[in-house]
Amino acid sequence: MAERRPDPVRDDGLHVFVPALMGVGMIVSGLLVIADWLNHMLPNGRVRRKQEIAAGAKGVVISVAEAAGHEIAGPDFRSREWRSRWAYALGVAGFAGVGAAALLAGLLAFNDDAGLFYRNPWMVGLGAGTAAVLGLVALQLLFFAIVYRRSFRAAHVLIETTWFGRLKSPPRDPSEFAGSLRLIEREGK
Amino acid sequence: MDYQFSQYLDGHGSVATDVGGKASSLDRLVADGFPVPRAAVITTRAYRAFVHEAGLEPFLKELQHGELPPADQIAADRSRVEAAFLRAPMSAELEDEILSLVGEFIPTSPIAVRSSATAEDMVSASFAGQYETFLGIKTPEEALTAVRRCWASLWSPQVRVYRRRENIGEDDLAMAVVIQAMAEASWAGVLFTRDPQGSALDIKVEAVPGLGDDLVSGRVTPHGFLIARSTLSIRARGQRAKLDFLEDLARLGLRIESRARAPQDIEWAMTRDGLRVLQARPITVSRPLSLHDDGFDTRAGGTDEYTPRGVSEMLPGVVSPLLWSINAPMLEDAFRSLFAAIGISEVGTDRRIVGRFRGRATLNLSVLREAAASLPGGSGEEVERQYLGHPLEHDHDHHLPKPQGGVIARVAAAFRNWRANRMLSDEVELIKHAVHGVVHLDIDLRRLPAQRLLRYRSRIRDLAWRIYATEVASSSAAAASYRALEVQVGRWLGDEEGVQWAQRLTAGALADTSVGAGRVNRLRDIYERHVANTPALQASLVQGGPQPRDRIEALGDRGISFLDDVDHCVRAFGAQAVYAGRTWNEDLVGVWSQLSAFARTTEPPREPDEDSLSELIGILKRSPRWRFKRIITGQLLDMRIRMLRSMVEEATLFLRCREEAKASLLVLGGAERRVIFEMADRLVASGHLSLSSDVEFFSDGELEQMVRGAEPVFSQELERRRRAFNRARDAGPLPEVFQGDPEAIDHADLPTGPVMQGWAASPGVVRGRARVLESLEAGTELEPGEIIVAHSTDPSWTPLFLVAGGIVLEEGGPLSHAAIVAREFGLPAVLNVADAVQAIGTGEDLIVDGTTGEVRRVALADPGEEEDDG
Repeated sequence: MAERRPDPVRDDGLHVFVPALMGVGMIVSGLLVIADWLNHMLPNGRVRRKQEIAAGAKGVVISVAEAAGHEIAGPDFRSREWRSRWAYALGVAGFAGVGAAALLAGLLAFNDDAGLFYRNPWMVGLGAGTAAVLGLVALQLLFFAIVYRRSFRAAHVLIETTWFGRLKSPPRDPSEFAGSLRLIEREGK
Repeated sequence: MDYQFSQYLDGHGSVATDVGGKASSLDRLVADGFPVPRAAVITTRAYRAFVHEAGLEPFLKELQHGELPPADQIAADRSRVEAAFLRAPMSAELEDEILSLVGEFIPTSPIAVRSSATAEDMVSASFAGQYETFLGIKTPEEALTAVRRCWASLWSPQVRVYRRRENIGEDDLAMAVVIQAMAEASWAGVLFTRDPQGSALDIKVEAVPGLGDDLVSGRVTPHGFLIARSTLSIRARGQRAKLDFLEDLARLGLRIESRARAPQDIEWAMTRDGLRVLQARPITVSRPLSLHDDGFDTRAGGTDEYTPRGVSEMLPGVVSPLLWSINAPMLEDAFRSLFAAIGISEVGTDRRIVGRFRGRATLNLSVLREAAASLPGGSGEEVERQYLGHPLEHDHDHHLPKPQGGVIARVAAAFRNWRANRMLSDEVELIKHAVHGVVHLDIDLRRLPAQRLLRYRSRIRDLAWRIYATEVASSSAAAASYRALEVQVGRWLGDEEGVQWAQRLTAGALADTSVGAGRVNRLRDIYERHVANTPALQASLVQGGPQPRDRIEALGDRGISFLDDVDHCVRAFGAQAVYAGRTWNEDLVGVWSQLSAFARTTEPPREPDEDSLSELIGILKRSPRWRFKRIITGQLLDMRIRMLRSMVEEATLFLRCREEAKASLLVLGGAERRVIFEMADRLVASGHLSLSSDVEFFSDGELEQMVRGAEPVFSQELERRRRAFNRARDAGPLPEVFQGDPEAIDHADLPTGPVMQGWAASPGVVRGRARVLESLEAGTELEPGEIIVAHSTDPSWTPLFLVAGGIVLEEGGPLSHAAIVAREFGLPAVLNVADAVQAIGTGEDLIVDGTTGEVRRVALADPGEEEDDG
C-alpha cells in the first residue's frame, strides 16, 4: 500500500495550523474592512487630487492661450469654501467643551491631594492654556457661524486659505471646466 | 604658352563637351567671382587623341558592348582597364603639353588631379565619387600617371554598371582632367545646399580637419552640421566642433545655388586666405529605395523584425509625410518614456521603435520583445501574443536578454510598474480637462502673426506629446492587467473560460468611454432630440444617400436646427483616426451613415452584459472547493472575490484610460488640424503652394520653415512624393511580420475551406451576408445586419459597427479598438483571420462565431452541417 502524503490539516497534532490560518485570515479581512471604511470616510484626499488636476489643466490652457497672445480668466481651483453652518456650530460646542474639560482637569489635578500633581501650578497653567487656545478657536467658529457667508473680507480670507473652510470641489465634467475659463485678449498684443 | 590640348579655367567660358562637367562648373564659378583655387583642364581632345593614337578603341568598344563583370571579377576588370591606359603609348606632343601645364602649378604648391567626364554632374546622375581624383601630387611624372588613371576611370567596372543602371549612353564619352592648385586647408568638407536625407529646408555641412579627401573616401567620421536655410541657425549632428566660418560657408553655398538655379553639392576648403570652392555640382535627386518610398520610409536593413500590428490602429493606412513627421516622433518618444519608467534599459537611438515601410507604420517587434524579456517575469512571447494575437513559431527567447536577479528584482519591477501606473488615471483626467479647455478657446487663427501661430501650435503639440505618452503607458498597463485577469480566471475555470470571461468582464464598463462609443452617444442624443419623432427628417436621412444635407435643409427650420446641432457636435469630434489627420467635419460621410443607421435600425441598441461579474462570482461561490478554501483560511471577507473585483476594476480602468487618452488626442488633433490649414491657406496666398491639400506631402519641419518665409520644396520633389504615396496605397497592407524591405503579401494560397479560424474577439454567433470593405468610404454601401470583412479598422469606422451584424478582420488583438467596440455593441467579432479580404467575397453567406473564433462560409459547407447551423 502506498504511503499517504502528510496533510497539514489532518495531521496537525498540535491543533495550531488551522486556527492560525483562520486567525490570519480574519485579521487580514478585518484590516481590509477598516481600510475600505477609512477610504470611504476621508474624501479630502480625493478632492485635493481633483483640485490638482483642474489646476494643472488650467495651467496647460493658460500656456496655450498665452502662446497665441491671450490671457485666461477663471476660478482658482485650489481654493476652499464655507462649511455648513451646522459644522461651525458643532465646532463651537466641541472646541468649547474640550477647552472647558481641559481647564477643569487641570484644576482637579491641582487640588487632588492624593494625585501626582497636587499643588503643581504647571497643571493649572497647562489646562488654562489649552482652554484658552481651544476657546479662541471656538470663538472664531462662533464668529463664522454668526456671519455665515456675509461679506467680511477677513473671514473670507481665513475660509479660503485655512482649514476653517473645506476644499472646494472643482468641476468634474471637462466641459464644465472649459466653460469656467474665459479668454481675454491681451492688450498691446 | 598656347596649349592645344588644355586650357585655363579663367571664367572666359568653356563647353562641357570639351572640358567635362566638373571643369565647366568650376569655370562658371570663376566667372561668377566665387573663390576657386587656380585651375586648368586637359580637355577631352587630349583624351580622344590619346585613345585614337594608342589604338584603344577596339578595347573600349568591347567594354561598351560586353557583359558586365560578376561581382568577384570587379577588381580584376578594373586592373585590366587601368593597365591598358597606363601601358598605352602617348604622343610626345601630348606628353610635353601635359608636363608643361603641370609644371606651371607644381613649383608653388602640390596639385590635385581630378576627373571631369562629359557624363558627369548631371541633375539626374552626379557620378559622385565614381571617377578618380588624386591629391597632393608633387612631380610632373606623378601627374602624368594620375592623368592616365583619370582617363581609365571613365571605363572602370563600377562606372559602367552605374551608367547602364541609369541608362546613360556610352557612345560619345570622353574624359577631361582638371589640374588644380592645392591650398593648405585647416578644415575641408562638403556642403549640400539642401539636406538630401532630411529636410529640404536645411543646409547640410560635413567637415573634417585638414584635406577633405578623407571625408570623401569615408575614412573618417565627419563633424556634421545642419543649418536652416532661412535663418542660418546652426544645429550640430553627431561629432561637433566649433567652426566660426559656418555661417559664411552657408551663405557662399546659397549664392552658388542661386547662380546655378539648382541645389548644389559643394566641396570646400578653409585656407589661410579664406574659404575656397573646390567643386560644385547639382545634387542628384535622392532616389527612394523603392517606388513606394516617398523619402520618409525607414531605411530597410538590419536584422530587426517589424510588424504593422498594434500600430495600424494608431496610424492607419498609408501615412502621409505630414502626419508621419508629426506623429512618429511623439509615438517613438512615448515608447521610450514608458521603457524608462518601468526600468527597461535604454534602447539605442540607432534602433527605431516605430518604423515606416511603404508608407505604413510599423513597430519594431525585436525591440519590443527584447524589452519585455529584460523585465523580471516578462517574455517576448507575451509581446507577440499582445500584438499578433498568437506567439510566433520560432524559438525567439533563446537570444533575448534574461532579467537579472530573483525575487527582489521582481518586487522592484512590480513596484516600478505600480508607481508608473498609479498616476495614469489622474493624468488622463488632467488631459481631458486640458484638451476641453484648449478646444474651447476658439482662437481666431487668421489674426495671429506667423510667429505666434507657430508658438500656439507648438504648445498644442506639447500637450499632444503628453497624451501620446499616456496613451502608450495606458495601453501597456491595460494589456498587462487584462492578461493577468485572463490568467487568473483561467486558473479557476480553465484557460478558454479565462479568455471569454476577461472579454465579458471588461466590455460593459467601457460603454461610454471608448473613442467611437462617445461619438455615437452624442450623435444619438441629437438624433433623439430632432429626428426620432419627425418622420420627414427620418426619411431624408434614409433616402438622402451619403450627403443628405440638401434634402434636410429643404425641410425648413427643423432641418436647419438639426444641421446646426450636427455641425456643432461634429466640430468637437476632432480628428477621425490620427492626431492632426482628417477631421470629421472635413468629410461627413461617416456621420451621415451613423445618423441614417439610427433611422434604419428599428431594434434598440444591444446592451452589453453588465452583470457578468456577479454571474462569475455566483459560479465561483457555488463551487464546494471554493467554499472549503474560504472557511479553512478564515476569510470573513472573501479575499479572492475582492482580488477579482480589483483585477476587473484595474483592467477596466486602464482600458478606459487608453480610450479616453485616445479620444482626447483626436479632439486635440482637430485643433492642430485647424492650424495646419491656416498655414496651408497662407502658403497658397504667398504662392508657396498651389493647393492647400498638398500640405499632406510636406514634412512638419518643411511646412514650418515655409511659413517662416523659407523657399518652397521643389515641385518635382512634391510630385515624386505624391506618386510614391499613391503607389504605396495601391500596394496594400504589409505582411504580419517582416525583416528588411517588406515583400508584397503573397495571396497564392488563399484558404478555400468552409471554416476560417481567427481570434475570438467578441462572443456571440451571427449569420449574415459579407460586405468586404477596403476603406471607410465604401462603408456607405453597408446594409443593416451585414458582416464587415476588412483588413483592419480604426476609430473612424465606429459608425459602421452600429449597422453591422458582425465583424471579421485580418488584423487585431484582444485590446484592439475593433475588439473593444464590438464587445460594447454586443457584436460577434473574429479578428486575425488570415486572407479574409481576399478569400471572402461581398454577398457571401457567413456564420461568425465570436465565441470560438470560427468564420463559416455557408456556401462551402457540407449541406447537412449547414442545416444544423441554420
